[in-house]
Order: sequence, then C-alpha cells, then structure tokens
Amino acid sequence: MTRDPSHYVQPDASEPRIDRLWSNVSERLEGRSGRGWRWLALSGALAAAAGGVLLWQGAAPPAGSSLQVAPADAAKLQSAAEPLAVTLLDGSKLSLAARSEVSLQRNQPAAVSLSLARGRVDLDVVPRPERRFEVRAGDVEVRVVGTQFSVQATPEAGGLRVEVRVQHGAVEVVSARRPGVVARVVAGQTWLQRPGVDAASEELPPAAPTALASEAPSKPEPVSAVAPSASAAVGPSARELFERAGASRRAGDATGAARAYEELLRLYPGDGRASLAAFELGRLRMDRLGDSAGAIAALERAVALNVGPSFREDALARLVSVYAAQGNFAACGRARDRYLASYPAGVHAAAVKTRCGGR
Amino acid sequence: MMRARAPKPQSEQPPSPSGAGATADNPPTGTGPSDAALVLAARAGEPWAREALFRRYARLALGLSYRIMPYDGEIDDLVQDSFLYAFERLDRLSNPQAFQAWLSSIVVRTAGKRLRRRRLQFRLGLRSPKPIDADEVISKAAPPDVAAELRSVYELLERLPSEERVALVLRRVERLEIPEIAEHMGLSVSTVKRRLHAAEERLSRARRP
Repeated sequence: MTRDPSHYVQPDASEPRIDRLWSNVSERLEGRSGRGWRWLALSGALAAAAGGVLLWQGAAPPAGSSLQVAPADAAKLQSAAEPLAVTLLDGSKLSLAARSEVSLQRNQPAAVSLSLARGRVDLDVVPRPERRFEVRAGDVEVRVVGTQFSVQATPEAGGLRVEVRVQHGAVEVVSARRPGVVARVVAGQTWLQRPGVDAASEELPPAAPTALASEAPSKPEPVSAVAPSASAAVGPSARELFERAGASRRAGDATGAARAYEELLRLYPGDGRASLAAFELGRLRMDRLGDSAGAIAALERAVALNVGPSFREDALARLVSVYAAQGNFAACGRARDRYLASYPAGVHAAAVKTRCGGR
Repeated sequence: MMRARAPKPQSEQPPSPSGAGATADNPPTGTGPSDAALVLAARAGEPWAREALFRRYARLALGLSYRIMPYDGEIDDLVQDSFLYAFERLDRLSNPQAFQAWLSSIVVRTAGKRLRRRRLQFRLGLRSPKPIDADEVISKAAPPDVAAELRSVYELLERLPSEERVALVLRRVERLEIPEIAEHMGLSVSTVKRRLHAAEERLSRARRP
C-alpha cells in the first residue's frame, strides 16, 4: 500500500469527464482562434486604411510554425531567410520559400486570390467546389482544381519565368499570352513559361518520388495542354487521410487508422506528413496489430523519411524492441548500435542496452 | 501517482506494446511520441498533437487541481484554463520535453489566482466560504496515519491565505521539495519558506487539543 498522500486525494477522472473536458478545451481553442482572426482582420483593415499592407516577415514566427491569416483586402506575405508557413481562412496552407513574396489579394470564403511577386509558394489547398482559388504570377493565372502544387516566379531578362508544379490533384493555367486557352496540369507535371517565348508551355519531367519504390505514386495521367475547365474529381488529400487516421485511432479502430496511414503513404509519399504517418503506422502495427514485420518496415521508413528528431529516437528504440521480440538478435544489435550512436544519452539508452539478448 | 515535481525523463524503457504501468494520475510512458515531439507538432498547429498532450496529462492536471481546490464544481474550469493557457503559449516552452512540469506549474499558478479571487469574493460578501468535507475528499483506503495528516491539512485549508495554502498542499500532499515548490509557484525559495513556516504554525495550532 502506497503511503503517498496524493494517492488518497483523487477526483473523478473517468473517461467521460476527460472527453467532456477535451471537448470544452477544443471548442474554446477554436473560439479563441476565431477571435484572433477578427483581431487580424482589424489589423488588415487598419493597414489598408493607412494605405499600407499587412506585412508578415518570415523571421517573425519560429521555424515550423504556422501563421493564420484573417480575411483582409490587402495582405502581403513576405519571407526572409526562413520559409514562412501560413494558413488561410479556409484552412488552406501556403508555404512561402525563403526570400519570397506573395500578395493576398482576396481571402474570402467564396474566393481566394494570391499574387506571387517573387520566389516560390507551395500550396495545400482544401478542395471546395464553391470557392474560386487563384494564384497569379506575372501574366500567368493558376486556377486551383486539386490540392497540392507550387508556383515559382523567377525574374529573368525580359520578364518573369513562371513554373507551376503539381504534386497532387490538378490546376488550370491561363496565360495572358494565349487568351482563352486553359492548360490543365495534373499531378506529377510541370508547366513552364519563359519570358520571350511566345505563348509556349512545356512539360518538365516530374520530380523524383521521395518514397520507397514499392509505395511510389502511380504514374501521372498524360498531360493535355488545353483542357476543359471543369473540375476533376479529386480523392482525399493527405491532410484528410491524416485526420481520418487520427479519428480512427481515437475511436479505437486501429485497423482503420493503419489503412488511412497506408493510403497516405501510397498516395502522398512526398507529403510533409508522410514521415509521421509512417511512424504512427509502425506504432499501430507494433502495439495494436501484432504485425512486427510491418512495424519494422514502417518504422524504418519513418527513419528514412527523416521523421522529426524526437519521433526518430522513439522509432529507433522501437526497432530495437521489435527486433528483440522477433528473436532477430543480429538485427536487434544493429538497431541498438544505431540508436546508441545517435542518442548515447537518450531516454531509452539504458533500456536499449539490455535488449538483444544481452549481446 | 503522478507528482507535480519536475519530471525525470519520461521513460527509462523503450516503448512497450502494452503501455502497462499507467495509473489513474500517471500518463502512460513509451506508448507514442515523446512530449517533445507532441509539443513540436502542436506548435505547428496539429490538433491531434494538442489532443494527445491533453489526454496524456488531463488526469495529472485534474488530480493536482483537486488536491489544491477540492471543489468538484470548479476544477473543470481550472483544468481547462490551464490547458488553454499552455496551448496558447507553447512557443514559450524552451524545453519541449518538460511539458509535464511546465503544465503542473501552470495549474498551480492558475489555482493560486482562483483562490485569491475566491478570498476577495469572501471579503466582499459575494460568496460564502464552504468548509471542505475532509471525509469526502480523502479516500477511505488511506492508511490511518496518512488519513489523519490529510485531514488536518484539509480542515485548515479554507482558513489559509492563498499562497500558504498552495505551498502547504504542495509540501504536505504532493511531497515536493521547497525549491520545486518555489519553481511551481513562481516565488523565491525564501518566500516559500516563509509561507510554509506560517502555514505549519497554523497547522500546529490547529492540531493542539
């Protein structure tokens, strides 16, 4: 029997109470987020009234953080030496590369319009058929049909070199040099316009997949330089799959969660969430699904995808555990050495040393 | 039992499949991303990471809140306010792995503010003090000597100024060392010693027949 006094003064900490508390905290967080938007909107209005712009410098938020931007008629987003992550009103995310500048001309539920002045912007756009989402770069206009793409504007002699790369879904590109012509660019394709080249567009090879070959994305559909402007059906985005996995996990559906993570890894191997999805998949396979071989594959993949430092440490420690549980002591020893080489004073170091059959 | 003291590294064991070892007040160790990873993800705006941190430490916050303010009707607000404060200021946490100790100090300081407000309301006649029912607060499973000590503390609490009260609970119930109490309360060690001395004096007087 413990003699710790705190053990004998305990509130009701039942799951329903925890659920209710979380529900309240979550709602209040969203509410405060809404108030923040109003404040930012006011800032935008004041800036506009003063004849200026709402200016965010890339150095302001810490690296890896995200900035929320409220509806504002004139907002200029400018990154310094570090990239700048921005979340728009509808949840769409922009990632502004270092030393880039984009003007947010409209940020309303019905329409979002951006103008890229220089540098590169990567976009993860929440699909909404009723909302028009456009990005302009010089005389090129990109209409968003799908979800993930980037636009790069590079000043060259005679004008802007504009490059549109699509990672997922599709966009439509219109150039003032070819009025009435709509180019549809789909996942894996790149559209390029150089200054001085009359109304030409060309396709570049798609970027090399970053994932293991076995889970690389399917080959993109053929490009059609001019396509109808109707929106194509788009599958779940990486964000949706990640959230679906999280919801399944919270509901206790480990199989459903694993399926969503697997789908994310298959469809979006280069997405920023892929490494974390691989880690979570490994954890689920190891802890809940009893699939040690699958857990090893996923955890190794998380490590290969450069999952964040803390997750990496956990992933490496888990690999030691799962190899040990398999009785594969040679692999366990290698995993142990790899962990200790990276984290000689890590939180799992003491325990890891005792694994692998004591070898 | 999870204590409010500054944590040691979360786990000395590699993640285990079962997560066994979790208790009512003690978050499971080694069953997922580390606190640092969750804090970094939460800072990046990932709602799932905030929820994971909440679920990992909600019981710790509830327990600590209850032991300082054993009024079931108020600790929900205290816990919610503490997590909101923490989530909105995650960028200020210099060591993301220290989330647990940081959250504990937020709970302690938020409780102190609420207690000061309560005492002000008492003085203004806006509310009446309600004695703590020690029999309701202390588990019947407590060993007799532990129960007796807890009873003397909880029967005194409502009569103590806020800082003395919080310091006494952290010392007598949470069993924290004085420097830890000072860190949690945001006071100097010498101030904590004075507050504890005053509270212990009152406790001794209350125990006299």
